[in-house]
Amino acid sequence: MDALWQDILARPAIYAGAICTLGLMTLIYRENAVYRFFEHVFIGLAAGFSIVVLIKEILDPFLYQPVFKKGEWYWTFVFMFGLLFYFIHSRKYNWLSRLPIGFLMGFSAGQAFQGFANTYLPQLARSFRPLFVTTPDGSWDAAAGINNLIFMIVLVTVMSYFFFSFEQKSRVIRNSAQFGRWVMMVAFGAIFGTTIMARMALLFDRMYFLFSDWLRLVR
Amino acid sequence: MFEPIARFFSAKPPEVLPYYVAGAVLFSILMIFVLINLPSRARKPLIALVTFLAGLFYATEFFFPIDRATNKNFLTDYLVPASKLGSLLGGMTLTLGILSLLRVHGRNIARLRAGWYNSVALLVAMVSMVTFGLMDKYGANDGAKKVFNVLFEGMLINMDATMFSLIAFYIVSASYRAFRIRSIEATILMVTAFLVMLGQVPVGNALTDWLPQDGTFASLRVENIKQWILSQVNAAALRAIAFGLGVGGLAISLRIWLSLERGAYFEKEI
Amino acid sequence: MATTPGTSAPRDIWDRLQAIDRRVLYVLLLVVIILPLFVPIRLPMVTMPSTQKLYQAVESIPEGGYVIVSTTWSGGTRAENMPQTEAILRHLMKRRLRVAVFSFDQQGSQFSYNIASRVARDFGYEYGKDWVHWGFRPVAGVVMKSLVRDIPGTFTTDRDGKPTKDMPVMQGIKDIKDVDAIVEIAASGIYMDWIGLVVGANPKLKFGFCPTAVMAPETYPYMDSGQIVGIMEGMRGAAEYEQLVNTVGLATKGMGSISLAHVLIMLLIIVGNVGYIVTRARRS
Repeated sequence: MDALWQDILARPAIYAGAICTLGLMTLIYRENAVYRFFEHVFIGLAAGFSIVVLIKEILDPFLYQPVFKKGEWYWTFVFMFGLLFYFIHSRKYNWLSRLPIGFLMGFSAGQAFQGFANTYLPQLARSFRPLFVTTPDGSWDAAAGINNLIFMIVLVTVMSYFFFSFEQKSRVIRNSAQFGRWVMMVAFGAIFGTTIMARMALLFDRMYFLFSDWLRLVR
Repeated sequence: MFEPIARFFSAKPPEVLPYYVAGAVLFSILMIFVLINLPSRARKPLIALVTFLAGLFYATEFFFPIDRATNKNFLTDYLVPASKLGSLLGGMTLTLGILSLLRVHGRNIARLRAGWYNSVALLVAMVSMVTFGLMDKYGANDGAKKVFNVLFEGMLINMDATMFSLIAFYIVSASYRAFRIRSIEATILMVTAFLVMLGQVPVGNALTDWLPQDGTFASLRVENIKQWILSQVNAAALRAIAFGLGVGGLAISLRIWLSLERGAYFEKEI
Repeated sequence: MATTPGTSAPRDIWDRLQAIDRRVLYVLLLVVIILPLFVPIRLPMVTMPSTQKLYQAVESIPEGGYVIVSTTWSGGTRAENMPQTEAILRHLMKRRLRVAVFSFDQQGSQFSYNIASRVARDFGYEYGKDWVHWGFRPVAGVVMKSLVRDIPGTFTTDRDGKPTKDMPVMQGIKDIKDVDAIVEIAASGIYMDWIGLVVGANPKLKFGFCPTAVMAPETYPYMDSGQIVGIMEGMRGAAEYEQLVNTVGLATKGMGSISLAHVLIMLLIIVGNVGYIVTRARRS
């Protein structure tokens, strides 16, 4: 028993993490009181951490330091403007919170033009591909040409699926949209395949934590 | 013309600083008081004006020609202050939900509602994290730093990871139950998913490990099939979708900037 | 235990195949994840071109080059993003490049500081001289617009509030043109902001992305266009990168478990479909 206490005192974070992990994992059996307790603790810690970050990494460097260390008193206005966010909790005056929200939305909307130009124009340029491709030694690279053709067919048919989503009389467009739908399934299948990888990785991490970091049964 | 204004908004020495800060606070409170009493019909135009001006800054900065000698336009020097302003304002949204949490769980405890002890746990966890989190930076106590480590690394992070890991169980169950080859689309989706899954795990790679690394038959190696699906078919299909999303996103940004957007949030009477 | 949706009781083996109890599935999943921890499965792993390209991009940075590492992830995706962060930092520090770390995520800031401190100790990196942590910055767009023009002005202090302008690691760094590469490790679509607001500003800048596996397919169009130089795809990508930088981390250790989990899911889908096809054939 003494050895266990010593181990707990030596590695309190690991023990706390293990208890919390097991507590939350009880959900896979069914919804229960233990899970609800740890769920509340989790929300409390996450909320508390937000307050810590607000003070340590936002108010300190962007308000306290500039105002009281450098004399840049005008940041006080920004802080007071930011306080308007909290009127969202007032039934009567919650419209005031729309001022800073609108300000931040305006900021991001103003950047959208540059974002669009820089993101999509190079994409557009790279979509027009040569069908006759040669290797560095000058010979014909049939595989690359076929791949380029497939790429462009997929691109055009998927676009036709969205652009002509209303009922079409033209058979060509109908078939093109149908093919576009099929190749989109290929993309969604790829996304599903990678989703499995992502989720399994998360579960492996938990099991590794329990069996290696906590119980030290695995090296 | 702007010199007196610039001088007024410059950094102040410590001896006069408290007066300026207090003045800014008082002025802001006065402005909030004015805003509170603003007639209803003026509120939406004011919000639209604030949104438009904020957007105008970045839009103008992007579209306005750059002086070749300085590689700047007249707004370039304001990008840094704008980023600090954005960080301060954006950062202040981090704790917006806290008041709701305090209200709901404070009420649970005061009225001893079912599960009130969970609300106590939530508030204790929150207060502990704030206390030890701040002591971690501003205090010199090693014990406090260790407690913060238990709360952050030990509890918060592990619980966050566990919450997400639970999805693994549901995805297995859902894949098994819902993935049926009922149509051509479902069949294509499943075949692709299988190929990608096989291509990204070593056990799948081992299936075609006997095929040569180079040459024509190398294309049949499962990892190469997966790579071909991702880089040829998937990339082209998602690029087509991205074009649609991009144009739609730009249109929505324009509508938000000019306050033309419609919907529950934008059309609500205020 | 096994029931067919819409019916009260299972009828035959084909119906049962479609209705295995969820608890059985959960136990099977736990077994295939845990078993390889005790009985390690060593299988050859092929490095994907996306990972190789990222590795080559880092290799091509000249000695003493400057790299910004952004870590926009939190505990929820730790399993994938932590090995990615560690692997990329190991490579950067092994190459003796100057590294600046920061985060657009509040947890990511603390995480990346802890990981970078640990890796820095392994490679004898000195804080302030060889690497720096700029802390947490919300509202990505405004920060990116600003750092393109003025990096020391955007990050005037590090995460502890110390001024950055006198730090040796910041010497000679004025704007984005002085940066050789940016690596974003993220569980979100923030790569779009980097591409839209930063990447085009310096034609020589290399932008590498380390997303969670679920996000990897959507980033392929950007690797195709060269806007992203390489991708480290989730835990698999991290395992490949660990192999490239000669280290064994969480990702490498996890490949056996994850392989078996994939096999289990594929088998379950096949079993369910066999039951479905046979049942449908009988009905028709």
